[in-house]
Amino acid sequence: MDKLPLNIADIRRKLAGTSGREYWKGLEEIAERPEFADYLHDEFPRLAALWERQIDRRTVLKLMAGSVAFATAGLAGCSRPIGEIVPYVNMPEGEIPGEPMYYATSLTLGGYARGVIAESYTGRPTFVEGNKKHPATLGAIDPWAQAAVPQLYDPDRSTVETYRGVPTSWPRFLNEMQVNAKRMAGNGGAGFAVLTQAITSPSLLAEFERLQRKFPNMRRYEYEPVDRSGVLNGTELAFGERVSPVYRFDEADVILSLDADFLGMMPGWLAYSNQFMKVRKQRIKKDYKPHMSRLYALASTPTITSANSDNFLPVPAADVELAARGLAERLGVLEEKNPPPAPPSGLRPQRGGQEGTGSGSDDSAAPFGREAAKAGSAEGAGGLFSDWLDAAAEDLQKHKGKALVVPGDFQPPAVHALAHAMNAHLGAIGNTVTYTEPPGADDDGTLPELMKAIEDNRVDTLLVLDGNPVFDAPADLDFAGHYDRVPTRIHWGLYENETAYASYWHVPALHELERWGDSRAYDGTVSLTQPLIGPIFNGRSVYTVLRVVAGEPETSDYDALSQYWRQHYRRYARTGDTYELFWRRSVQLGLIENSALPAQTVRLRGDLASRLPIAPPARPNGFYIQFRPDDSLWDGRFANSTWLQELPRRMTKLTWDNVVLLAPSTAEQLGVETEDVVELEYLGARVSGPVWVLPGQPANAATVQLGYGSTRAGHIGGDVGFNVYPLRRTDSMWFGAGLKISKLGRTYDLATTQYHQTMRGRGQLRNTTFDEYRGDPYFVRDYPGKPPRLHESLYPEPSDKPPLEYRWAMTIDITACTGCMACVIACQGENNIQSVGKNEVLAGHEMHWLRVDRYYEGKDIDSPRTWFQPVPCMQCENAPCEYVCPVEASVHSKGLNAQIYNRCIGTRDCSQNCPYKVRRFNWFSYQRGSEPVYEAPGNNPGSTTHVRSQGYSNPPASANPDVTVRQRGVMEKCTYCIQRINEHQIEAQNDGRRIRDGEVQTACQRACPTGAIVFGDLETNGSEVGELKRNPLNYEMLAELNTRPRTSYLAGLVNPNEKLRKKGK
Amino acid sequence: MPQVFKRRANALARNLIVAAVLFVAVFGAVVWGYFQTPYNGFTGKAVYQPVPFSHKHHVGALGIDCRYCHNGVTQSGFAGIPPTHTCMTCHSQLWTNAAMLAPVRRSLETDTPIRWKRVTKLPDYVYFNHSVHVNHGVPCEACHGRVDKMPLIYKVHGFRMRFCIGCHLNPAPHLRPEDHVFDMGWQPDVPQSVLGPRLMEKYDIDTSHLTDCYVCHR
Repeated sequence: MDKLPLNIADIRRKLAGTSGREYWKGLEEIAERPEFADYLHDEFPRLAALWERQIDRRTVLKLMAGSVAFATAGLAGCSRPIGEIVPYVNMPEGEIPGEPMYYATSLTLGGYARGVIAESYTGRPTFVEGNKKHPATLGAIDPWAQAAVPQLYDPDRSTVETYRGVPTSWPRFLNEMQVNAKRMAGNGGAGFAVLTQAITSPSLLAEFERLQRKFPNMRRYEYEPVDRSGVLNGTELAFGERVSPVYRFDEADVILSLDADFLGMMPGWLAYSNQFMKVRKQRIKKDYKPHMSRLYALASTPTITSANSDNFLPVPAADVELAARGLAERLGVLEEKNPPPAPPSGLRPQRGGQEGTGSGSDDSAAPFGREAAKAGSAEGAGGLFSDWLDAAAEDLQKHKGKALVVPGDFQPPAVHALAHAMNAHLGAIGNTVTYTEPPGADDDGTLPELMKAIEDNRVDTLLVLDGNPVFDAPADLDFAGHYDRVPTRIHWGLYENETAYASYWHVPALHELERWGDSRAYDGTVSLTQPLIGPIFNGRSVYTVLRVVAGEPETSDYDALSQYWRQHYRRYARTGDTYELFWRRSVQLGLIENSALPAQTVRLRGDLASRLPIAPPARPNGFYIQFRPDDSLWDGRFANSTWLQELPRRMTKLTWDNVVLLAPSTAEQLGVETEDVVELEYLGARVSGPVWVLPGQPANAATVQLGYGSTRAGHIGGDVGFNVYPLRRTDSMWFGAGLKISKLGRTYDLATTQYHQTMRGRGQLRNTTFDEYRGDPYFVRDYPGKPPRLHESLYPEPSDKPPLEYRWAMTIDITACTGCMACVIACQGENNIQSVGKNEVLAGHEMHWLRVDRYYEGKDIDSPRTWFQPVPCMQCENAPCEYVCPVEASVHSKGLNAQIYNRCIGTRDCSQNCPYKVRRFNWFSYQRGSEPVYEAPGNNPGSTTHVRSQGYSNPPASANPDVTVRQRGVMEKCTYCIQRINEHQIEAQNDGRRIRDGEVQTACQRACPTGAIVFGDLETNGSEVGELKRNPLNYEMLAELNTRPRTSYLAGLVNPNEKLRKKGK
Repeated sequence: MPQVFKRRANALARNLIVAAVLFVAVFGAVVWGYFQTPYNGFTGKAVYQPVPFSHKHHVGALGIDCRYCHNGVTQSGFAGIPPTHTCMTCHSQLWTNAAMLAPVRRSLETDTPIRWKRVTKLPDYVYFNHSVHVNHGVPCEACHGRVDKMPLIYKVHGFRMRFCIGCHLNPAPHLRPEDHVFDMGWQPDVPQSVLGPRLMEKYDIDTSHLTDCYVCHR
């Protein structure tokens, strides 16, 4: 398929020519190329190609013969399978077979705990939800935590100790380590080094302390690929002490984010999202006064934080520091005690004056202003960047005490220090931000120090606890080369990854759902991890491995944990508590009460201005390289998760790949477009990957995502995407300058769901600004698309006769939806939705019942406003799908639009007739992991894509027993979690009462960090959903079709600064 | 042009059509008939179990309540099969050396469960919940028959969808007062035609949406 080049200038022109509010999903849509129209026209794009394939007579006969043979074989196999029932020998106390048990536990990411409630059916963990009592989740959950369940059952997990890659035995490991430890004991542990990931576990840190006393020369090093060292280094720079900031977004009226992704990645983001949206959702209650906070976001790459901001400015990561200085200057922060050093010329606020050209002359003395003009607006409005900072500074200043500046985790210490100084100036400290001791350990060595030690031959035993440094360490350190020089190297981890292969010894780790443990949340709350199941794959606990390597007897993780807490529990115990009481209560809660770290008093250094490093130089030739943890794979540790691989990435809606994100203007300059493969050369290292042109990406900066391209990630994650770690260096962990991008002249298929299940411009969003909302709260009613009046139709009115006991309904708040995708994966886990693999996504066959559409709004392709709209089944009362089903598989049932799998014969008429495009068809036996062989369409004619042997199906053990696992050939869709409704209805009927409001929560609602999704019964008086349906913002999508959807939306509101708005922003 | 077919071809064609219709009808009838057989419903046939447990003895003769062993029945969708420990509450005292009970003792010794053969199985897309039935006066007997007369357990009803729907349309003839749900062979004092509607009211059973698909399928 030949493609016309994507003409960015043309797109700009087309957008500029539009009037009013325009929504678009991507650049291809605006470009209106003919092949794109064709692509949209086919609901399942690649299927058409399949039909067009020439099939000869022989093939037809072969297929017919095959079907007859299989049919006969099927009849022969008609004997009755007799199942078995296998009861317990001794049933655990409290267990009721058939009913799930729930346990509070916690899962960690980057060392930080998120409290979860794990569901277990007769000892089989099936699902995790957020723990409402846990400060880091508040009942919500993130996609990574949810993926823990299939990961637990992942057949690729390592199952046996290996020595040089060959399976060996635990006793042999014990013997070897004993000999090694004896040698180490002789010299006080000289040469003994442990490399860990970020650790916040009090008991494990105590264990290290104990070992340190035994082996004074032992050293612990810490390396986390998602490096947050800027945070503590920043507070040290600002306050002279290493403290960790904890934000209160619900207390802030004006927030400025300096490239921070506090709604999507910063530890505690679930809680932060909750706080942030708490004061932005418009809920009509008693004493309701319209109020909305305002978020200014500088972002080096579009994130869901920038997408949810009111004023967004794309700035390359390297320029954020300049912006922070500019802002600090405007606020007069650094001038307070000491005069600031003369800022570089480019830093001077350019009020009005300068003309931005958009094309840019290099080596300009004022990169700041020029970048600004470029990034800010295509029309070349001069000095917009300055205006933006002016407006933000003024707004912050006006809201002293209610203002907050949030530095990004991946920014250097100077940005953090400047942000803290601004917070001190704005009276934020104590109000909107507090500082605590760091939750994690902070006395460890760094990876470069470890490399130095290896070079000096000071390491002879290196124990790598979890992680994969051979794969993910910065390239300039040459970890693999150094590691090879260590005589005894041991790796403990879940997978036999690159590091395991480079080690002599590999010991399988226990999964977090198999072990006891403790860890701290973002605010320091000690969270407990308890096992839901015994070790499935022969894993060993971290305490055991550590002790064995140190020449001590094995211990169980429970013993190690209780040993620690028996000594330390008194600090947190209630009066009169025995240890047993304390322990039972804490395990039941999943956390230790009141263990959040107390706020510290901090004082800003008087000489901060002089301590700040010299401002970064003007941009050198070339582009910026920017690294980001992946929305799904994080640093690569989730690479083998089908759920996460197939979860559309938040901003790109891309699955199964990482990309080089480029701004439209940069792509234009380079002559590349989405799917073109480019080579990135950064300081001699080269990698190549496909381009994704992303509106909102700052010009001249290429963002790549970590974690892809591992060859040893397993049968799912192996060789997916391209590995960017070779570009990463210790001095450019998150960004660097001097990147060269060259077009390679080939293209690569990217499986994006961006245009799948499209409603083709219908049923769009409704939104407005907060000011306009205050002027006209009922603005949604001005939109076209009203439901027809009663009896306007010739068809009989849909009615529920006899009347229903419950009328289930849902509202989704567009304002509050951050686009974090937690709901999608929660739905997948709850409803046994299968993953299908990249080829099938390319064919438009992804199965997610709930999709989150991402829309851009506005004429500006450089920094458009971004909206997210989750679309589950609308549960129409007058459902179009029901009229066309020939077998009544799509029928109304209990007032809902039901899909009955055992009736469905797969005509797919219902999907064809669904205006919301929320129905999914099982094209293949995804539940068995089978995947078709496609002739690769498009780019590589004639070649056949490879078929993976095991497919992508969910581990059967993780299936929800309350939901049917669908087979090939049936349609499926969102059921409003009917299994949960039924469960609660049966419970209520048994108790002889009605279901209470809020009792039934759908999986998506439960996962949502901001409470954007509300589900309930309209027949119950005063139900929350009933209230929301009367909210002025409530509207129904495509109401003019008279579908009477039960799912409705609350229109989106943003609160942009009017001053910037007038200037075209 | 000469005739391609002879005259008798007409009769042949007609007969063939009749034969085809007949064949379809007969074949259909046979298939339909097959599905009505006890063979297909798997009814009336005792299933060989690892331990020849007799409901006749335990329920009929000894009068042990259903819930003693199937203790999840009032709270859970699944009635529950007793753990080995439940058997051993009595059999650690009684028949301690019976050869018949050797598998039970072995199970306890080796901590391996007894693998009972399934007798009643619904398709995977049907979600039957025991608790809501027994709590609303549907006796065990209505579906499982007189287990107190079964030396080895067998199915009495084929559990085809018609069986479920029949009761969901009109539960009244099957309902019992709650203290007789677990009784075998209980007969009401008043005629069921009087008792049934009364109990429908008492249990607050509304049949209007009881045959909705989502009640059993999800």
